[in-house]
Amino acid sequence: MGEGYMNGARALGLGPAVRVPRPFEADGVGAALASAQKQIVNCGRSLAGLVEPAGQALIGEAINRLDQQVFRVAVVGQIKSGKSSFINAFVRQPRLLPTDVTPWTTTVTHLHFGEPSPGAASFQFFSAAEWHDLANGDQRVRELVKHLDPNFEPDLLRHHVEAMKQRAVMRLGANFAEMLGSSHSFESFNTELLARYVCSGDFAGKSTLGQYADITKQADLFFDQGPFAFPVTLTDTPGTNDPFLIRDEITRRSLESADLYIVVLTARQPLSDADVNLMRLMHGLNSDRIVVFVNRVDDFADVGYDLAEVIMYVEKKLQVNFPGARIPIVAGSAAWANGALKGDNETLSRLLERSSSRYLADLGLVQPQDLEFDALDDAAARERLRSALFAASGLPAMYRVVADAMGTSQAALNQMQTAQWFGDMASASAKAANFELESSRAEPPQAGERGADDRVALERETGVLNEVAANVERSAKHIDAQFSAIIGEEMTSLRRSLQVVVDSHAAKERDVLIATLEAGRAPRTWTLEGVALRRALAAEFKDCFDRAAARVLELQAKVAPELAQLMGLIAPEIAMPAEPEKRLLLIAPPSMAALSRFVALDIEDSWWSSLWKGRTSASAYGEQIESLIKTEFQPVADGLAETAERVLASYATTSSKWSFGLCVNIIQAVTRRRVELIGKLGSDDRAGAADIDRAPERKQQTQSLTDRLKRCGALNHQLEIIVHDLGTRLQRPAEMAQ
Amino acid sequence: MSSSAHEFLTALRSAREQLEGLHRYDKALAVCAAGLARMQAVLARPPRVVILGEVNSGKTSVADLLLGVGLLPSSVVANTRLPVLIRYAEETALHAVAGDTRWLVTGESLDGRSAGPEVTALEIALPSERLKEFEILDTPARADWNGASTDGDIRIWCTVATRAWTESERVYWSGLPRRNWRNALLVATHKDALEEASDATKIEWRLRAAAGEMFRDILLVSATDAGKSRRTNGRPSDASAVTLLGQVRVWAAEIRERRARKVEKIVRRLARLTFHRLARGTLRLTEARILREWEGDCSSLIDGMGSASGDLASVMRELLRRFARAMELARSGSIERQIRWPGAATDAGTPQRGAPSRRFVKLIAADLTTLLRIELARGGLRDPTLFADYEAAQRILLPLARLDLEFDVVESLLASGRPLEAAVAAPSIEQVLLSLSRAR
Repeated sequence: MGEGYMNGARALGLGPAVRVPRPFEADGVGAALASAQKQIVNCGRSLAGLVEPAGQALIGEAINRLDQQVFRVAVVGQIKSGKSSFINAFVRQPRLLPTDVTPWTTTVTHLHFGEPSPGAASFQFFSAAEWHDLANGDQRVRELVKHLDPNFEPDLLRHHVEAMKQRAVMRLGANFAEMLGSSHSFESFNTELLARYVCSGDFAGKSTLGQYADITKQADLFFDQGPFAFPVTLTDTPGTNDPFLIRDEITRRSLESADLYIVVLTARQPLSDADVNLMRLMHGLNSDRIVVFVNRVDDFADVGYDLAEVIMYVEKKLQVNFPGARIPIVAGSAAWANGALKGDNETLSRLLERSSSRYLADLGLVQPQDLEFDALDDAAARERLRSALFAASGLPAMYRVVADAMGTSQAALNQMQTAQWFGDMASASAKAANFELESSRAEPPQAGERGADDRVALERETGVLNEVAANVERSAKHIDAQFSAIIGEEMTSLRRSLQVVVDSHAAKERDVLIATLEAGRAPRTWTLEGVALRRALAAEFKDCFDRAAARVLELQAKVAPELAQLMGLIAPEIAMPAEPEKRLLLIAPPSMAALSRFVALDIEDSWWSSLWKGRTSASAYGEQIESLIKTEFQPVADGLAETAERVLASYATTSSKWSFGLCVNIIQAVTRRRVELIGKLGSDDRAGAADIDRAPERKQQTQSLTDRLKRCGALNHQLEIIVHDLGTRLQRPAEMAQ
Repeated sequence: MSSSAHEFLTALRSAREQLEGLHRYDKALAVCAAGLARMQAVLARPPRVVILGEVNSGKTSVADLLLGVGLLPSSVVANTRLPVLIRYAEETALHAVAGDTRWLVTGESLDGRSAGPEVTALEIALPSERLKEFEILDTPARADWNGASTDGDIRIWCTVATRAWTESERVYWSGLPRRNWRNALLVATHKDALEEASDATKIEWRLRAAAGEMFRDILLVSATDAGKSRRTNGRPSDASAVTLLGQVRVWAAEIRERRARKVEKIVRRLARLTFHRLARGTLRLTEARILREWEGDCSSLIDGMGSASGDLASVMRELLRRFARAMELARSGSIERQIRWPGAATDAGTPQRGAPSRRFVKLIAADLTTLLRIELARGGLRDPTLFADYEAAQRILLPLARLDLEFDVVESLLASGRPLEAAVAAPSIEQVLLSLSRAR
């Protein structure tokens, strides 16, 4: 497990160098990423002014892509672990999301920071089809039921669905169905408005609370930057492990793959088996995108004593369940952070009332007398208390963890790639300018007298250029074909390998089941080892993907020399960018979100037991299970293969587009110059040539070329530094993991 | 324990001691004595309260509340890794249990994890009066059970109030056989962690809606962190602990009462069956003939029994008449002298017709057979002490079987009919009745 955070966690968000961060003016989270992005975009804009149209188009596209980048953080956890409270503290709006003492959040809420239209909110209702699906139970579960036992009905689910329907009717009227599929948008919002859509409301309480909750699928709230320097989307989810089954189902369905998952635990029951299962399922076994926040340490009577034990316990359990994974653990209390942010005497005195507040003094953050109720009357003491609460809340450490995760995110990888391409483009441009400069210097002073010869030479050169351009185009097509051939081959083999994993697992499961049944032990609590199968799939997937990525990169490495050879035909002096540095060639590992797809076999244990009653032969049963596993996991395997294909194809397309774009850019530059010269020669011939005019013109041209050369060189240098920085940051976790 | 139950326990103990004090070895009597000993143990053992729950749900704190002393270690993370049985004893003691063996732990030997068999459970004996009412089994979190028994009479499922009743808890609990729900109490612990008084109401509302059917009752308690002289969090402890204890006490008393009634029934049946096994020694020819004849009479009477409501009375009358004759044949004048008269042993009153009434007559017949057999054996026995044993056993067993209390039934039956003409000269039905009332 990593260093850094662990120390931070032990000291509750205070790094080894214990300096109390001042709570209300931390640097924006993701400042490094944001500033890198700004630099790259600026470089790109300058570069666009120096290159040919082909290059400009590529650069514009790349900048657009960068501008759309968002770092996505999903906050997940069991019910009542304090996810909404944590988010409120994290975004420093302690009263934003409604919270309550019973499971409250019903809806997936995306909080968008630094994206357009701040202040607005929109609430998306389930479509009629989705509602129907929910209200009639999961389709696959239905099929399974029909398949195995036509008489079986998941009673509880039906019961809950009925309750939900009734409540929807009660709150929205009998024709609530007309609202399905639509959405509500607002120019501004407040907590009361949110409460209508995203919280469950009292069971028989006020009508506006949770008025639309039953049919709301997703809420989108837009904010300005907030505490973030880089655009961030934070997602609040309904808790898992909710006996109200439908809510669990909603969460599972709507969780897209995020760049970072914050798993919120409650300190009193840290990392229960339900949490571990959630982590396994949610992150698609990509554990380096998980952070654990142990919330509610303020529930402890003696924080110092209990916390050490809890952290040790969580560490150990994580090591057992996710061997080799680096999962940062931060402990703290959203209640403390929210208390510090609210700062009113009522909230503060409520926190002081609990003996856990004495921990602040134990840490040395405040003097014991600051924890007396009287101290609240003293403004200075109250401020001390507030900053101590925030410091001990673990939020500062969480900001750091999130910022670090941003540094190694997909966004950072994209930035590095873009910077690399910009750098290559700058360097190629510089070389083209240099070449022109050289060739224009080489022109003899009395060019006019040999105008005719020149013209022939120029025309010949133009012919070569056209030929090379055609070659480049052909070569591009060829390379693209090779890329897609490689990807096609690899994906076929990937699909096959995954199939083998599923099949062998299904066969094993069948044999085990038959053996158990034949031994006369009715498997009262038989469950599919879904986790084992998923893990096996993940491992196989990773192997296959790495192999495919290596082949793609290998081909990409061959492109540069080939292009260099082609370009040599135009001008041997223009060396193409050398073979790219291996270290910097990276294809972002694809998301394995497909693995977390809910399969009917994941249903709770007790569900199965009712299926074993009075069944016929053990082997028939085993075969049923085998085929069930196969059909259920087929879409999972397909989903993985599709993701891999998409990632590789888009990488290959973009990288070949850029490689050839560079060449096209050079060819365009040289061609333009030749065409200009030819045009000039023509006009000189006609005009009988005033040599006198040409000298300043040439001088000006030389000047502009030199200028371009310099600026491109400078840009290239700057971009190299950015790439190096980003590369180092991206490389670090990989080295630490070794 | 209620006073009647206590009296019964005393009676049971003395009966067993007397049975064990008899001279002669008789297998039936030995079995009976062992059975009584077992019943005595069942009665003496207080109902067991099993405390269950997920990791760190406040199980040990609840045990502390029930016990009223900060005796058990309670810490944050799955502290109790072993099931701990807390029961009454006059001296405080700690036993370690490994499989079937059990040994006294002294000093530091447990902490030292000394070599030896893997300890699977702990038993703590304490001289606490409350433990006479119920004993406590504090279980580790489910993952650590290792097949240890978690059976008990009262089940307490602990859940943390601030995250009460999750799906994993529901799955586990609803998977239990229904009988486990009967005396089950859902306790939401750490009520003190709630911020507002209204929160408790909300939580209770939710729990009743979601889990009400699976528990007999639901309570919220403020489990104070006991042990290790820790600071207590939040408000001072409230009345919830008292409510919890009261609830458990009432249920424990109820269970005891019910159990005593059940034991009484079993003992009655056992005593009667033992009584029927008495005096099975070999008989001389003449006596054997009397017995066979009587047995023949019994089966023909029972077989011939119709289903009319008056049949029972007339069959009984005939049975008694034949019995009196057989007794007189066995030893003339015996009816008057000493017979303790068995009767029906049903609580539900006398069955009037059909199979139940036939079974009733059969039982009575078996009772009478034993009486007759003892009487017949008397003549054949060389050793008078053996006969004294039979008589003593009879004296012990009859009250246990409550046969002596059931005379009323037979008596009223006989009284309702017209007087019997005696088949034999001497014992009239009046004499039979007289001996009945004497035995009472």
